[in-house]
Amino acid sequence: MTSLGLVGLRGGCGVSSLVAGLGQALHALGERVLLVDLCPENLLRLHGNLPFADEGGWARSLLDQRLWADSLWQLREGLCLLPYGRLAAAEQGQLERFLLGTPEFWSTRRAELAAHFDWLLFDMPQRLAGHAAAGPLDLALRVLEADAACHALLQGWTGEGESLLLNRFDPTRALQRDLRLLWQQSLGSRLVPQCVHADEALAEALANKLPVGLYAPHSLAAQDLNSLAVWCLAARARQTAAQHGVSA
Amino acid sequence: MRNDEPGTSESDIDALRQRLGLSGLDYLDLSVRRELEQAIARWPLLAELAPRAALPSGAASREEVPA
Repeated sequence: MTSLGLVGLRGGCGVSSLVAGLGQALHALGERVLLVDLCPENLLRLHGNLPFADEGGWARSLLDQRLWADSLWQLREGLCLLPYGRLAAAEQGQLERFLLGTPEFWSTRRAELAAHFDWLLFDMPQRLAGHAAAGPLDLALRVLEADAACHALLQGWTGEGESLLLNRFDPTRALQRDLRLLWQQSLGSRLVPQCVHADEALAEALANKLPVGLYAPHSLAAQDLNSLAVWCLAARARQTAAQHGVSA
Repeated sequence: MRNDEPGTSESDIDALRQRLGLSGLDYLDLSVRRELEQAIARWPLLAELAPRAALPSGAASREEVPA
């Protein structure tokens, strides 16, 4: 099982939409995928057409001392989603303290999931270190947009082992073209070659409670995510080859 | 579009460098370099954050201009 985490370089980079869209694209390629929402905003479930009023999720179950697996939803055969659940602000703080003190929390659960899924996709919060402690990741994608704020935040950024994924790229905007060119030169292979273009279909997909690949399969963003899924499969194959000492 | 895909000028140059055993040579397409310098010069924040070596002469002198 391959663990893939997506997190924003800053807030509002569209990570949840990417997790839902990439998960769906991997599933369409025949992979068994579990999407896990680690964010207290609890929005990933809406991409999976779950009812807004439903309060269930792994965090809710944990605080209520119920089985976390009870809040797992099967969206389709081989595609499942684990929502965060609805927590009050004080409960989120309580859970953050617990997770900070229990770094092995996801490692033990991942071992239970390994037989059932090929991919585990984490929608990770940017700031809550305890919540974001999903354990070692095989692939870590830091999502950014081609704007001045992200460029400033990149200064001094090291992000050990992370790759950068450009989202909402609009090639008609001069600043975005310039920043992408600059990042391609300065970041080299750390910038994922496949970006996700700005596309209203992504925003409309959430309003339709669907991943973009199902809502608008021929949209530019859906095509980008299909290519990104293929890139993920290639990255996994490279890692597997490296682990077995085979030159890729 | 990746610029190292087969058939692009950069991938052709990479192939040539490998063939000539020049893989260690630090190469940057001159047209890309010019584009990069123009991009940095267009935006004061990019110029401020650019490594000194990458600054075009116009951007480097920006801070010397009295307000």
